[in-house]
Amino acid sequence: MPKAVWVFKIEKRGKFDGKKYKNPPVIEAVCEFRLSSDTPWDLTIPGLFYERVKHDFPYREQRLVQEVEVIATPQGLQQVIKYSDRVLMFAPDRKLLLQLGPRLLVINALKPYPTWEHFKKRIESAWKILQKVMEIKGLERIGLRYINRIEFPSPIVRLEEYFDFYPFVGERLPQKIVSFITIAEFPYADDRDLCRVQIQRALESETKTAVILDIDYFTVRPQTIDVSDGLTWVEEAHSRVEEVFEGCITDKLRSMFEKAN
Amino acid sequence: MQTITSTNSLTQLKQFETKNLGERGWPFISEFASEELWKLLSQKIRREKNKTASLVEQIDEELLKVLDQKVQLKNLDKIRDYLLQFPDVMDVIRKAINAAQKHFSEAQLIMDLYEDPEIEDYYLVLYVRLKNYDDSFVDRLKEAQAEFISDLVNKEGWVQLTTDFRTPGEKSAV
Repeated sequence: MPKAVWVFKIEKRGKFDGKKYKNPPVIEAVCEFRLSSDTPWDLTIPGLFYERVKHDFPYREQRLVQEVEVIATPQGLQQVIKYSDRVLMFAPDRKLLLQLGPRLLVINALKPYPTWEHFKKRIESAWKILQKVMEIKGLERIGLRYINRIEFPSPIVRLEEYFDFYPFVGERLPQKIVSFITIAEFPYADDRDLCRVQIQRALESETKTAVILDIDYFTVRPQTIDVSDGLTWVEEAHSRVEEVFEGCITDKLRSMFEKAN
Repeated sequence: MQTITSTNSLTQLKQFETKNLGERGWPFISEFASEELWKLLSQKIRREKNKTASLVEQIDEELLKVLDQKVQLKNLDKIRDYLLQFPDVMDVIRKAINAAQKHFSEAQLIMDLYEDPEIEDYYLVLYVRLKNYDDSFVDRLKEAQAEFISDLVNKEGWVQLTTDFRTPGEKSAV
């Protein structure tokens, strides 16, 4: 049976020209490579990796990360809660970091977003170095995620003025909302990839009203991207994320970001 | 490693909740969970797992847990930015709060970022505010701090348990 999809309107996909904003709302950009389970992993790998990146990422820290895994077995679904060591390597300004854990490489860029060109270079470099220090058999999943925090000076915000993606509230419902969250998943590349878009009220400080627009683009099934195509996928994913971001916002919000180019 | 299967889920879920949530007064799902609900929960966990790992998200989840522990957050944006720079200290925050609440059950707790205006030094502070400060206060503060200070060894970030000698609810800036 084909997977159900809900279609809203005929798509009007515009051309996106890689806009650069003076004040981009990105608070975090993340690129994550999860390696296949048949990829050999041992405890020497983080050390070998660090040796090659320490010039740019000198500050090394260790964290114990809790992960929940759900495995389908003949006896039913199995939840496995496990802890794994993760090495975090920070750039001198601590705004860029690499995370390396068992069969996992994550590249995080924190605000101020350093531009795609710069972030891409870091992704490419980290991915190539990882391939030099270990044999990667396959890719379980790749993800590219952008988390945007959009702050408004006013305590009352009319979402439709700023966004083209927001919860629809019919006229017979109260028009004041104190909290909301809306998620949609858009299929791409013949269902090989999904883009999960989420908009919600942010955890706020006392003085600001803020919205989080979270765009997570990832491969749905394991081993659909060859290791050698990893970086090409990342470049394509970035284009899709950019299209989706531009599709989520209105010109009024765009003007708030003060387009630079 | 802890394993919970759907076939023995309710017993194990109960044990898991008692161990991890018991002290925090959270409702136990196992009290009312059917197998169907358990399956839905499994789907939710699967979806959560299928997210690209974000540090911002982890920190906001941690801050929500701090708020759950009835700790007031001052300068939330600054606290978040500090944790983004020093995420290793996240592992210690809840232990510090637990220690403060154990030794000062009657206290109001406020978390803030301390910034030294003269030298470039900043760190998280957890202020204890009491109605009355007696002679045992400083010793109790030291005992509470001792419960988590060893966890800060080799960490880049810092959490300091202290007081501003104000009373709970006092509005003055910390």
